[in-house]
Amino acid sequence: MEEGKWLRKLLALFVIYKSIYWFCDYNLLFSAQSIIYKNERVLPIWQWPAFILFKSHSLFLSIAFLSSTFLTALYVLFSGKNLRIAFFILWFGIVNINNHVYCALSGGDYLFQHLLFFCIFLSNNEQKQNPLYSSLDTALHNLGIIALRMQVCLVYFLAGYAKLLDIDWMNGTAVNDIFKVHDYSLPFLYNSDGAFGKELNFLVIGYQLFFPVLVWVQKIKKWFLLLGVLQHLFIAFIIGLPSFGFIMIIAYAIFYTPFKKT
Amino acid sequence: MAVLAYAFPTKEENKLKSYVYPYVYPYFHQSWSMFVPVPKQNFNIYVKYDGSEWHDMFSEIVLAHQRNRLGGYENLALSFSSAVRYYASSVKNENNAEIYKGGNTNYDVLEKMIVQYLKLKNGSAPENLEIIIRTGDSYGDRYHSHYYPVGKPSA
Repeated sequence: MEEGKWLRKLLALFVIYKSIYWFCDYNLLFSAQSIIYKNERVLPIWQWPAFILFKSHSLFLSIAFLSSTFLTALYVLFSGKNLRIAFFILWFGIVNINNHVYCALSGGDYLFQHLLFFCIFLSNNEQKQNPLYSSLDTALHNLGIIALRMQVCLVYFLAGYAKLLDIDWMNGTAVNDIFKVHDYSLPFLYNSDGAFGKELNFLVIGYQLFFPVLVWVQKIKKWFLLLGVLQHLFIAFIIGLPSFGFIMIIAYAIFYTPFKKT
Repeated sequence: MAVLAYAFPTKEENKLKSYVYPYVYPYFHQSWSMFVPVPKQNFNIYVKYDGSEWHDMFSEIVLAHQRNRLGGYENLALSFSSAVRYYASSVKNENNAEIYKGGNTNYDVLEKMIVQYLKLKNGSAPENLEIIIRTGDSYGDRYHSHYYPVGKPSA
């Protein structure tokens, strides 16, 4: 039941990190003068709960959503009880905030949302008197762990597969082309056309495609994940998508299995 | 399975996706075609208002985000970056100077962002705002500019 413990703590920290930026950007993203364009399209009834914040013009509601997610994340960080309810609140809050700030999202924000959802299934590790409850608790926990791992593997495999269908990635020019785009690069890379970009291009495809297999090979797992961490730090600080880079690194915590004495 | 059918990248429109869409969106929405297709355009958003000189507000935001990736510009840079890309995909690649008559939601989204950002930055709504959106391929050999005098009555 120790699996997932670190992921929960790191996710709570990431909620706090995101919340600080949301509070700093409150006027930009949540106030009456925000840059968010809101259309008046009619939503099917089952979508309403996901767009409460988007559809509302109440400043109180946006403060309530931001504060409740921030405080719940602090609770998760310092308490080990009622974590399923806490993660449900976090997931619901983040779904609403993400749908409200839709223009400022990267793929990482969707992964963040799904990781929070699957954490709802994880156990508090509390002893239960009733064996039926205990078995159900373990089953739900294991289901959550499998779903979390599958989600991360799915992200990598689909990202790698999509690149196989793209001519620029297959020609090896994609990374150098991305370096030329100013909002995804740094000035010293603007004129990059070298072998570094080409090698990185194929390394990225290989890493993404084989992640769902190689992450289970114990002998190389540590080094393989370390390579992934370097890749995501590159995305965070060179490509300029820090939230995306950090959440991908945090997701690796689900592959961490604590050492147990026998 | 529904998520897999929804998120699986295909070259052509995936019919299965339209069936599973109501079950997956918005709670389990995901798309992992990261940097596919590869972005190949650079943008400038030149603005002029209240008698000021033309200046490229998009490059200013991108530069600020490049100087410090944790400096609080990520939300702003991502918002403008996405909005200007959607806008560029919705217009023809030809130079023009036009009075905007409405009908392009992607431009409306971008214009609102520009106006509100300038309002927050300067403390008041920009008067006589004029916008030039320039799209150039990342190799720097082809450019297209669109001029929008915001708020002027259509001819």
